[in-house]
Amino acid sequence: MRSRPQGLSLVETIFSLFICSLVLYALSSALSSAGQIQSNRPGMDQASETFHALSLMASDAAAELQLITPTLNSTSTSLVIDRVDPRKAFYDRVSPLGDELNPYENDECIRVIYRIENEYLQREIITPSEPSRKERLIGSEEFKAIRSAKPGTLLTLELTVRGQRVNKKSSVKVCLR
Amino acid sequence: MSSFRRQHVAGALLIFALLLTVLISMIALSLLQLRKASYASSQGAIKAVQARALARSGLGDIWVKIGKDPYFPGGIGDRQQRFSYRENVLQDGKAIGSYTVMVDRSHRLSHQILLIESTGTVGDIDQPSARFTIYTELSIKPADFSFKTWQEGVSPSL
Repeated sequence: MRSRPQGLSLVETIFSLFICSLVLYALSSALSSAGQIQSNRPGMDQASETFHALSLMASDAAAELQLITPTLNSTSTSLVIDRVDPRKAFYDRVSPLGDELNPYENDECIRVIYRIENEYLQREIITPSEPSRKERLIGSEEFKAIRSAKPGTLLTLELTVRGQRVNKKSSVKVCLR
Repeated sequence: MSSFRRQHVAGALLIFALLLTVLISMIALSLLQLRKASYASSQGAIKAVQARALARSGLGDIWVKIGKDPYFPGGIGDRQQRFSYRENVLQDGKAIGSYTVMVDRSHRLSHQILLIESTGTVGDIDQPSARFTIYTELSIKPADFSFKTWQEGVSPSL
């Protein structure tokens, strides 16, 4: 008497192949999306750094007590601003030690300079009583600060950043009030 | 005897296949978690930008209000030193968030300066998904109506 051969039937084989294909499809889709995220990460990080640099410049420009450079109706490769030292609170600035009625004295202000040095956008802070300090923000090719004549309160900041394949130009407009 | 051994082998393969499937599923789920975290990070960045824009809107709003009426909101006789107000911001009829403006008028007469704080909130005020505060000092001198300071991303202190 011949014994029944051991193995899988056709239905079992098809069903197991179906289950395997489902698992493999889920795995490949998860892997491809994870790979896409990984490949997009440097671009996203750079976009985030560019946004941070532009936001910082816009914030400093909005805080200006005096905009030194660029002058009205001109373009400059640097941005020079005098602003209140953000480390000094209002109540410190009106203390009896200085001029109580003027919270914006010269020794309560700092000068902030943005320009490109050694292919990096740098933020230099000059304080009356301390040595100046520099912050390196982002690797950049070009920086332009444009102040239009009409309206005179509009300042446009353009930053060209080295990309992986091409250079990317980003800009922000600031209303000076 | 040999049939009993074959049954044992088939059973072991079944358990092995089950374990392999569980392992592969766990790897796939962990990768999906990675994607979820990345989406959450992108959403967080967008909401932070929205909160900042809402805070700026609040400052634009108070700038216009004080520009039109230096004694906003109570008139000349109002002695209240601090007040605040909140406005919801709608986009296509749907609320996306709000801004809360706090004004300190303690130095209105002595220095002609108002201390202002604007906080942008994305989402419901009770369950915000992002918040951003900007502090400013607004000069209300007739010849010099302008913001004198502008500090972004501060902790509310007024």
